[in-house]
This record gives sequence, C-alpha cells and structure tokens, in this order.
Amino acid sequence: MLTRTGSGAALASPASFDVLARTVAGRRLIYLDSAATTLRPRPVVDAVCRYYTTNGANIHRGKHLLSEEASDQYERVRIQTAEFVGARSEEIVFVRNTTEALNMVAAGLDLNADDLVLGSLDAHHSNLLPWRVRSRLRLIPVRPDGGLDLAEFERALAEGPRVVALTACSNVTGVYSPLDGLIRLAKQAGAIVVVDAAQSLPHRREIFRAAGADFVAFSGHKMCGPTGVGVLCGRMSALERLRPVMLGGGTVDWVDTQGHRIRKVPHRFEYGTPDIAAVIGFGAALSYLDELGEREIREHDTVLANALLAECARRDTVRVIGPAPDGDHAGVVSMELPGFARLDEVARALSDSFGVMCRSGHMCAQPLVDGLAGGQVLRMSTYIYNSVTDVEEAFHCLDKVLEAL
Amino acid sequence: MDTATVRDTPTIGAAWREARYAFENAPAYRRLLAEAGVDPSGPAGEAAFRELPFTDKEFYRSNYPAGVVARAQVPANDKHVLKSHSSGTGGERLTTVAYTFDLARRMSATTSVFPALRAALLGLGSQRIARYAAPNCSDVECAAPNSTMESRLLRDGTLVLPVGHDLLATSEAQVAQAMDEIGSYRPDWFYTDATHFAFLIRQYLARGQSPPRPAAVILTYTLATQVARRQIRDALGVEVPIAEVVSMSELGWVAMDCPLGRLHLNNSAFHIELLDRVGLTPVSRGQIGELVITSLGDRLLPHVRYRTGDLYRLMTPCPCGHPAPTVRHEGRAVHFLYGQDSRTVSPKQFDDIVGADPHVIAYRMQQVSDRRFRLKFIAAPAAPADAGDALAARVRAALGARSLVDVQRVDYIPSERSGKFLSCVGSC
Repeated sequence: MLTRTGSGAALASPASFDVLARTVAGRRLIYLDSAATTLRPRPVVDAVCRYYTTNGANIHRGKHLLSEEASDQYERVRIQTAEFVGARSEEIVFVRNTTEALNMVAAGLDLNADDLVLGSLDAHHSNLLPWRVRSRLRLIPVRPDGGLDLAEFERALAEGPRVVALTACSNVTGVYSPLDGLIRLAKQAGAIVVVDAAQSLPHRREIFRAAGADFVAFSGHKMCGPTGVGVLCGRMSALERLRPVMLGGGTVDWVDTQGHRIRKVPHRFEYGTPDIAAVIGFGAALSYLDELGEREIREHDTVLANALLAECARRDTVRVIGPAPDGDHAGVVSMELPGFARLDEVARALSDSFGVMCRSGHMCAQPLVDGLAGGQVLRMSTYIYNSVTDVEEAFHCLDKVLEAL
Repeated sequence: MDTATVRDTPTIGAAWREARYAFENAPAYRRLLAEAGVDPSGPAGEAAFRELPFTDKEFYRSNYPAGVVARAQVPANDKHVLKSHSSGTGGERLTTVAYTFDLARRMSATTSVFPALRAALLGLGSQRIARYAAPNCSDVECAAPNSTMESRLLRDGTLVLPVGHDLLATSEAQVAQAMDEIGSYRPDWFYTDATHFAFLIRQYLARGQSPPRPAAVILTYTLATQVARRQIRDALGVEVPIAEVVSMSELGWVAMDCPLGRLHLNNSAFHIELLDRVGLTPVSRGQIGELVITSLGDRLLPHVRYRTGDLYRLMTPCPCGHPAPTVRHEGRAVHFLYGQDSRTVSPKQFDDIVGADPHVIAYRMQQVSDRRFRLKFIAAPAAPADAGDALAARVRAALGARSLVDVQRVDYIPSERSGKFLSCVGSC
C-alpha cells in the first residue's frame, strides 16, 4: 500500500513496514538509520518467504522444475536490476554487498604496490581499505562543507592514477558528489573509475546510466532489499578485463585434470550458491521502488534532507558535519553535540526512551569523522517511509535527551 | 447458429474422432473424461463436443509421455518423430512429440493462404532454413563456447544461428559468426523472430554489407512489430514474400498472414474454437476469444480442446478470398495492458499505437504496476531529439490521463528471461 500525499508525508505507507508498528517505551518507532540499512516492506518479506516455502531449490544446477523456476526468478531480477540502473543484464553481477563488490574489483584489477589509486576522504572503509592494501592510495581531502576538494582532485589526476575510487554520496555528510564531472575528468586521465553508490542509488538511479563509470557498487539492503545481496555493475569491457578472484562451482564451463575454461560475464564472478532468496527479495524491492516512482523518491529524499538540516539550524546544541543548506545532499545528517562526549549514550536514550533509532560512532568512515568531528557523530538518516513529522519529532526527542543528560 | 463464429466448421466430425482416439489410446485423457463424466462414444455433434473438458499445457506437461502419447506408438526410435522441448519459463515449459509428416501437413495447409510464399517455400530445390531467434536454452548451456555450425544443424535442414540470450547484448563475435554461417550455408529461407531479424539486418547495414536475400521470410516466435517489419521490408524489398506465422512447438503451424497481411487460422488441419474467456462460449465477429485447438488425425499425441492462452479477435472475411477464418492475434492475456479508467490495450493494439514509426527501431512497453507504465524505445540513428514526443502523446492518450507513463529513449532494451524479446509486457 502506497501513499501519495503532501510533500512532507512519507512516500511509502508505513503500514507496509511491519517493524514500524512496533512501539518502544510506549511510543511509535521512528526509524532514522536507513543509511545503515533500510527496513523491508511486506512484499519483500513475502517474496523471500515464498521462495523458501514454495521452492528452495538451487539455481543453474539442473533441469528439474524447481531449479528452472528458481533460476528464472533469479535471472529475472538480474534483468530488473539492469533496467533499474540503465545497464545491460550481462553487466550485473550479484554479490553479497557493496564491500564484496569493491574488494572484487580491487583484487581483480591486479594492482601493483606502485599503482596510484585516488580515493576520497569521505569514503566508507569499504572503498578505502581494499585499495590501500594493494596500491598507493591517495585520499583527496574534502572541504568543510563535505564537498571534494576539486582543485586537489585535478592536481592528483595529473599524476596518472590507475584507478579513481569515488564515493557517490557520503554516508556521513550526505553530500552527493558531482559524479558526472569527476568521472569525465578521471576518464580523460585514463583511469579506471569505480563508484561506491551504496548511499546514493537508493535515491538516485542514474549513476551508471549517465556518468560512464567502469564499475558501480551498491547494496540491496540499503534500498528495501534483504541483506546478503549487493550488485557490482560494470561495463562489459571492464568486466571482461577483471580477473575473477573466487573460483569454483558456477564460475567455469569446463574443468578437466589439466585446466578449466571460465564462464562468460557475469556468471564467472558469481561463485558457489548465492543467496537466492535475497536476490528474489531484492527483485521485489525494486518493484516496490518502481511503483513509488524514480522522480518521487528523489524529491522525497530532498524534502527530508532539507528538513533534517532545518532542524539542525534551529538548534545551537547541534553542529552539522558537512553540507551547506543549499548544497546537494541526501537525507543523511551527522551531528556533533558540543558538550556531550558520549554520543552513544545520546543514541541509546533516544532509542530506549523515545523510540528514535539513529546511529552514533564513526560510521565506518573514521578518517573523515576524525578529521571533521573529532572521532564520533550522531547520525540520522531517512528513507521513503519517513515523513517530515518523523524528523521533527526526532529532534524534539533529542532536545529532551540533551536537557536530561 | 451465429454464422460469424468459427465453431461451426466442417471439422467437427474429425474433431470428435480425435477425442475418441485420445480417449481410447491416451490414459490421462481417459481419466480426464471419466472425471468430467463425459462419454465420447456417443453420437458426434457440436453440442456434444463442447461438453468435452479442456486441456492445457499443464495437462500435457504433467502427463507426458505415458499419459498423453498414444499407446503402441514408439516415438523414441521413429525417425519420423520430432521431439521438442519448448522453453517456456515459470513452469510453462513443455516436452512434446509430433510426427514430422503431421507437421508438414499442417504447414502445407497453413501456407495455402499465401500462394506466392507457398510456391517460394515448396518450389525450392533445397530446404536450407536459417533460424534466428531466442536460443531457448538455459544460461548454463548458452555459456558453452565453441558450438559449431554442425552442432546446430537440425535434421530438417534448419541451421540454428548463434545469438545472444539477451538479443541486444549479442556480442560482436556472435554477430560475426552468424553472418559467416549465413554466408557459408546460404539459407533458402529464414524462420525468424521479427525483432531478431531486424537486429541482424541492422548489423549488416552497420558493417556496410548487404543483408541476405532469401526466397522467403517467415516471422514467428513473438509478435512481429510494425517497426521490425518496416526494417525487414526496407532491407529486402517488395519481391521477397514475408509473412507472420503463428506456430507452437506442440502443434506446428496454426495460422499465417495472407498477401494482404491478414492472419488466417488453419481450420482444415485443426478444429478451431475461439471462446470467450469468461463464459467459454464462441465469440462473434469483432470480439476477442481464446484460441482452443483440437488436432485432427494425430495418431501420436492428439490434442483435444487445447487451450492455447492466445487471444484472437475474429474479423470479417478477408478480401483475399481465402475461406479460412480471418483473425487478429491480440497477444496473450498476461501481456495485456490495463490502464486507469478500465482501459485495456492488447499487445497488438499497442503495436498499432506505435505503428511503423520511422524514428523507432525497437520498443518495449511494460506495465510496472496498476497505474505505472514504462515505454522504452530505441530511436533510429537519424531520429531527431524529439522523436519520442509524438509517440509518448499517443501512448498516454490510449492509456488515459490517470495512467503514469514513463517514456525513455534508450540504446538498449533487455530481452525476457526466456530470451524472447517481447514488445509489450503486462504486470501479471
């Protein structure tokens, strides 16, 4: 069930998300941790259950009815995913999550220790560590408003990086990178471009379609899908050059005592039995988002992003990390609370006393949080089931917590 | 009796005999009739025939082979038996057998509506056929490299050309291989999916080469869109006979275009019924009904009142003069579009909306949900930037103002999981 009301309302009916019917401390639950993982609507849960209750067979393994049926469902989600992001179906590799996708690329490119990789300070650890352990990683700094230091980026490109690893949207600041321009410059410099789109794709799907990256990685669980399924989306030419890191069942056409022949893209990258139910559930999530509408999701994200920043601006107890009010940012805001050293206590109080679920810590982006906020932040992040009222209530609760602590 | 229907055909006696033969020789059919309380040993007649229960794909799938193949037939060792595994997805797959002479008989009867094409097919010194369509195999087999031309040459002289499971993502190597094999095999005629063949023609033209000029082209597998037909006709000229054929792996050729481009059901090799899907009664002219087929004289795997799931509109008699019923293949019920305000658009009707638009080379319309539709189209290379505007306006008008239609100009449209390229996909 979907709602279509005013711009401040939830885009998706909270009634579709059973979790939101829970109460905590006698209050309705307000979920503001979608940057970590989103909730799943009932159609997604039903799709996962349906697979386990009516099928349960392995895929691509046989000719019996259940196997073919499961294979069909699985492969249809590949087509659906391709359509969602504007790729070709062969360009969709199902993986466990964004982290696995980025590691797969970093390992498969066979980087040398001398290879230069440009990353960004606002990168998630998953788009930082896989490069650092294999190459000479250089992090481009970010400005106080969360934007990338473009002058420094251009200077670094002149050094001929082999890879440019971009972050489409920071999971700390919520700032969207100007990907089109960054990718164009990186391609002109001859670099392989890899984009961590985990935070942006749930709201904006044009990344692969428009920007021309070689690889884009994202996770199903950040866009209403189950955990255990992510996507590596790669240009065919890029995928064909990528060495599969994991080999075994499903990755080869032929094996004899002397050697093997590897399968075509994308199957050569999908080793072993995947999380079939998660992929099928992810398909249901994509259908759900399709029904809400691409433009509507994007606009809703902007409305809630502005609401978050507006609430912050009204309070001198809060210091926002990053975005300027007129910047391009998602419904993610990370805050310092001057005078409050234990943000985990604030988050716990918001949760247990007021039913507001948000996150504290360094958000798996420790270099950035250390640099901009001294080591920890309190983060609120929204998605389609949130309303402006959710945001307002959450900040009202934050006020009460800060008064009490 | 409504003379506009196709139920009162002269084949009713033969259809009754088919039912009796199935009753006596196919155990599953005997059980079906027993459960329905119908006795086919009585006098034949149209009313009695309509008391017979329907069969469908599920019936033949679940009872194959022991329950539906006629007793005393030995298909496995008979060189005249063609076994096929149709690729239906989502549980709709089907293994079936047919006598090749029955298939030839049905094909011959079907082609009677298009004498020039019939002459082109039957007058050939050889029967080298090239098939260019969805590869109809699972990804595991499709992935197997190095398939040779010989390995794809069927007993009846059909060369199955290599093509990607996802048509528009077919690799350059596969395109080149298909072209090489066409050059080497020199097929007399093509048995092909229209969208696939239009794609192949574009590949020739893109390489500055002339497309092949076969004696005839049969378009089948999926609805031949007008934009695909336009590209094929433009490339081959008016001399090459081109016709759309409705064919099913379990029954062979069932219907074919006449020279005027109108579809005629083969009601001499089959007993044909067009039935309203709700009341299951014969439809009148102008109405849409489901095609229900009874094979005639099939001594191997008789089909009786077989529901095909395909919907046809019964048309007025064709000016071509052929007596076979004239119909319009509207598509499968699951692919109809259901717009707001009770508007229903069949795949065929949607193709009429697109028409032979010179700016479009391929399209796919998909109903995403109750109110959302997504039209993707690939524009011709020289199409102007606003090429889709008029098309979008026509589509929105057809589906009603309350339907949300997202029109996207793209350079790629994925095929279905089955490998078929469907131009109109419902939400079911």
